[in-house]
Amino acid sequence: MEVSFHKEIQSLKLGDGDIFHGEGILAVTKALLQSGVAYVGGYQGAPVSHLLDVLVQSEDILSELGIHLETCTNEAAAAAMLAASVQYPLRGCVTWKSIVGTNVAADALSNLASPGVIGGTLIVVGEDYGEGASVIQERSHAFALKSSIWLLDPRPDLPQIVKMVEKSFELSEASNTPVMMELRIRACHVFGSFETKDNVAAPKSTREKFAEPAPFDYARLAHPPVTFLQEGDKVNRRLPLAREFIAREGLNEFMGPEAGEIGIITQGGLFNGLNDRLADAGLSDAYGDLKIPTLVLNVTHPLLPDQIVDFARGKKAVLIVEEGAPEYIEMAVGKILRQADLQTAIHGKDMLPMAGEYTAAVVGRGLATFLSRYGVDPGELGQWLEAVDTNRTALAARDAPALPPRPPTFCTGCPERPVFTAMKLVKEETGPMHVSVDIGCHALATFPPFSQGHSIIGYGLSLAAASAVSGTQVKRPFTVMGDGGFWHNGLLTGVAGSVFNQDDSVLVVMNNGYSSATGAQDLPSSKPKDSGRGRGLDMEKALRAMGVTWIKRVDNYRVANLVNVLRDARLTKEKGLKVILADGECQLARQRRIKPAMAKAVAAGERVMRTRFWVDEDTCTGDHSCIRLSGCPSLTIKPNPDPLRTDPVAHVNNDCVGCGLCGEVSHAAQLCPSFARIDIIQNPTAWDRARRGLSDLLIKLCGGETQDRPTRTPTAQGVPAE
Amino acid sequence: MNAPIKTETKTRPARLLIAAMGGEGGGVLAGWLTEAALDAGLWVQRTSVPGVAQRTGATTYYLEFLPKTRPTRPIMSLHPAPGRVDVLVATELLEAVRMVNLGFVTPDRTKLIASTHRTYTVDEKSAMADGRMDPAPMIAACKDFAKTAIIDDLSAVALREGCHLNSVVLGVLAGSGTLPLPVECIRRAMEGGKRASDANGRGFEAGLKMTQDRGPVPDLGGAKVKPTLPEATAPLLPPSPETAFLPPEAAGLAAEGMRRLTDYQDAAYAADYLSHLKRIAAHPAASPALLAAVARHMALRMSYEDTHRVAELKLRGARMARVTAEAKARPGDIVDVAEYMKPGPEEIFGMLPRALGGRLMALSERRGWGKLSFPMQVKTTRFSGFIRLRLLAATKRWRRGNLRHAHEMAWLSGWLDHITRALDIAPEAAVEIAETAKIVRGYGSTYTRGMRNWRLIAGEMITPCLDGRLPAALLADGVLQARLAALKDPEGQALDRVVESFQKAAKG
Repeated sequence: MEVSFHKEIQSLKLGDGDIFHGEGILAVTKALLQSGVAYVGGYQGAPVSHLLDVLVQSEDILSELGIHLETCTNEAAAAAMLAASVQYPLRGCVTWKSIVGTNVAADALSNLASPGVIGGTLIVVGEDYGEGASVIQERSHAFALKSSIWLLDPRPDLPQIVKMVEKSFELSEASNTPVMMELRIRACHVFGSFETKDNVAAPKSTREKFAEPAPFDYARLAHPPVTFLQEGDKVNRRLPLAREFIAREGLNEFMGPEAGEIGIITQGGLFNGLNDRLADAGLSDAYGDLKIPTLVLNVTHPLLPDQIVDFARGKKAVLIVEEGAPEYIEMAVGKILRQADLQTAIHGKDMLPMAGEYTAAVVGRGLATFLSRYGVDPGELGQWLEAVDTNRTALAARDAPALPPRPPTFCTGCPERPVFTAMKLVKEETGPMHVSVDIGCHALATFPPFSQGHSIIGYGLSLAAASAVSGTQVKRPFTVMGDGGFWHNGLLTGVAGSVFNQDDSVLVVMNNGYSSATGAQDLPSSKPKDSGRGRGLDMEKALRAMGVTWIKRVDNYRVANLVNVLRDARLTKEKGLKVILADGECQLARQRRIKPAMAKAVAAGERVMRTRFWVDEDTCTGDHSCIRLSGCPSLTIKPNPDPLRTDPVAHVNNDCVGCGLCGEVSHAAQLCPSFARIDIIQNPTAWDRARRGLSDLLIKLCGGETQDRPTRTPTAQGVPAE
Repeated sequence: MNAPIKTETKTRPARLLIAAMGGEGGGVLAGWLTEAALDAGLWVQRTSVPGVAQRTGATTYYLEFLPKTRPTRPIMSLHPAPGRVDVLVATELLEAVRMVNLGFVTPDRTKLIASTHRTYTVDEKSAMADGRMDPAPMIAACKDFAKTAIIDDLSAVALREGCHLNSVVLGVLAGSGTLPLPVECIRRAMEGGKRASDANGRGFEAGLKMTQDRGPVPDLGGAKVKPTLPEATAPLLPPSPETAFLPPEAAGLAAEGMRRLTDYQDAAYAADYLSHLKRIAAHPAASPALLAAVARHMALRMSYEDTHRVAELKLRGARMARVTAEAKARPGDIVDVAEYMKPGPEEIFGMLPRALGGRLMALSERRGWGKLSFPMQVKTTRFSGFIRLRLLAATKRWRRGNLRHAHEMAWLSGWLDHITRALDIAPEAAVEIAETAKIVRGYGSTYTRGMRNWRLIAGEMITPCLDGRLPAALLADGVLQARLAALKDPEGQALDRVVESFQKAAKG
């Protein structure tokens, strides 16, 4: 990891009465330290990566508090860590991106939830839902329901989030049940403040170790016959205990007047947006001074039937604001009210959409419908919605062309881009092939200009996903996987499975040295450095040990060679799994390291060679084949300086890091002679100058022009976005 | 055009939405504003949806500010609401319009600050011709839907100041007075922040000055702002005495063509060009548009990019000045240019005398040498590279006898013949036929593909119509459709479909 979190770490050291300023997920991290956790683990993924990233660099805090930190190889490993709290009174927390991470962790979660815990356990899931999400849209709620894990969905205000983290450990211990807290993307990134407390060291920890293991107790194992007892224990003992705790501690919040004809029940995480729309309707203000009874569910599982019944009693109707499908809360409330024989009407998904993020306009429309139905004038809310529609009509009337999308792309100089360039060239040569795609930066090759891939079925699962394909296609399929996916799941699920079943396919592993898509965290195969967790595990050795014999290592930036290796893998008579290890360090991480180092060297007067690429506008004919084979952000277009031509010419802007792909592509694809590499020798030596001087002299003697070296300082030195 | 949206009471927060692209510094900008608000003693909330969008994808940052008038904490929204955004900042023009289209810019409320520069999307820049969106309607949309608009090329300012774009945006935002933040607080936040640097300081002050130069905020009405955009269309070229016989649309282009071809080969070669033009111009049906198209495309095709030409262009002195400027070399630095070249059989044998080259090309095809080529990096700034290109450039004197030239001239006479014959029977088709020259260009595989497409159009559409085997009335529209289709996808699928349906329709 090449990013430093020095500032964030300082805010984790704040004590009683200090004010913390920062993002939601960092507030959660601080709350963990205030809660006396003994261990923390997880697997990186937006929007919760930050929790682990910061702790990894907080060695002094961890050692002072005796916290064991694990950067797990996948979410199942993280969930399995919680086993420590099954037998020992240890508080622990693990984190990952959901729904995907929860899916991976499911096995361990079920086996954890069945015996339950004696030490408080918290699972912080980044609910990757709505705008900005990078995964399938499902709710984590289902897991909480089926495994009897309590689910928190706190109001996205830092003091409230912190309080809920602290209470979650108590709730977990009071009911012997693991607790899950879901935080949506915007809540993880929300910047706010809260008053901190001192960090608390756990009674038992890496500093104060247990002298002996827990005595043997079959009842704590998730193994028959006790699993039957545990199933009963969940509903007969733990559930009532949890409800009692939630009610006693007032974890759910009643807002607004006690009485009213109608009321609202909302997930805590959606409260802020709802309040804004209620303010529009004149039913609240910026301080949450509600004029309509509202029950804010900071705990969305279990629900408290008494609480719901009390809230609904005497009301004509309640609106349930619950994001995503299925509508678990709405169904549960329906059952609760039916059993209580209350005739309060229930609205939710009849007025709000079944699917999709509950954005401002979506919530506004649902709320206005609800209010109007029960004779409450939505006031300004209605006028606002009308104005939104009028504006939309005005926009549509302009008949403007649709805007091209701008999905994320590979970074400038990304080592994965050349691999897809080579795959595109091979495709042009030998025809289309089935490509099984994985999760990671390389999935961006599904966007233009590469637009390739037939399936994405899970992290590290691309090779397994190609197994039945390879058996039923004449042409050998290709599989792409990152080193992240390789260690997460791919080595066993994919490689071992493929060798075991003697599949005939090709696996390309992007060996960029980090878990790049999630923020360049270290992986088992990351190079060991002064800091960080890399251990340098050898993928090639692992593959050989698994029985893979056809392994080729390639330098990603040598496209012509890559094309040969890919073609060979595609056409070779050799059966079985063929693995290409595509080597190239994540450019984002690399630049973070070398840019400051280079600047330092230049300032110190050392000889430094800087390289970037350049397009000769005189020879570029404006066909843009080069762009269709690259898509690099720094390879763009500019107006054609030739008065006879109208199409824009290709142009390399100043973000270029000199990876060399442009030149390699123009060679490999025999494109055109417009690409040139510019080498800038900074602080040249006397030898450099002498050689250049001699060369210039010879050129002049042969009638050529030479460029005098610049003698004035150029105006611009920075790297502005062009 | 919109129904008025009522302004709410002063207890509502000020709302700012920033539209940016990942990795551009939008997060840093939002961070500076957060710090400034804390410094100013405001309640502030900021949120974002970065995710993988940090990889240059479109993304947004959303902030709310509220004065501390009560001791209680306010409840602020995490989502921007359409029609409820007070200030919209966009670091790029298309992203500004994206926000307009999503309803986040409304005439009753939104003060828009946007940079007019374009960072082209992959769709736009990978098009085979010109895929760029027209900026004029985009700027108009920003102006029409905003209450006030500051629209200018902030990227050019960043380039001039040598700083990141976000510091200029911060300066403009500070100077615009659209947020309840004192300029001093914003400046302090930037200076005390993680990314403090002299460059960012310069950018901030430059941005601030831009707004001061424009006067008080209400006068920043978008309608008065004249965008400074890169000129996409060619400037009007001056004609020469020799080309005065042509209409003004064509005369300047022809004069440029003469200059180009004299430089390319010699005056005699340019005279050939002129005589072809004269022949076409003499036809009574020749329109100014046709003559302009012929003047343009014939000059380009006659100055086809062969090895001699490329070598010559790469030794031009003016080029080195551009390289040095773009490379941002410092005084005393040594700048080297290594050209990526990869001549294959076509480039090498093309330089040989027609008969010899032809025999060798035939041999090459029999032996399958087509894929053989010689990748090289030629350092034109060093003598070893210079002298090689110098020799290649010098041998252009024998160009008119070489194989490639014979091919090009055969193509040219075919193209001119089509135009002349079309003038007789379907004059409106002549200009479309002239424009087909556009699809023949480039090098290597691009040239091969273009030639394949052109032959398809010529063989399946133009010739049959001119020969009377297919109705000539369909020719103009058919060729236009085909030419557009040829520039749609590199595989030529769109063109194949157009040609097929043309023949179906023509055969009735």
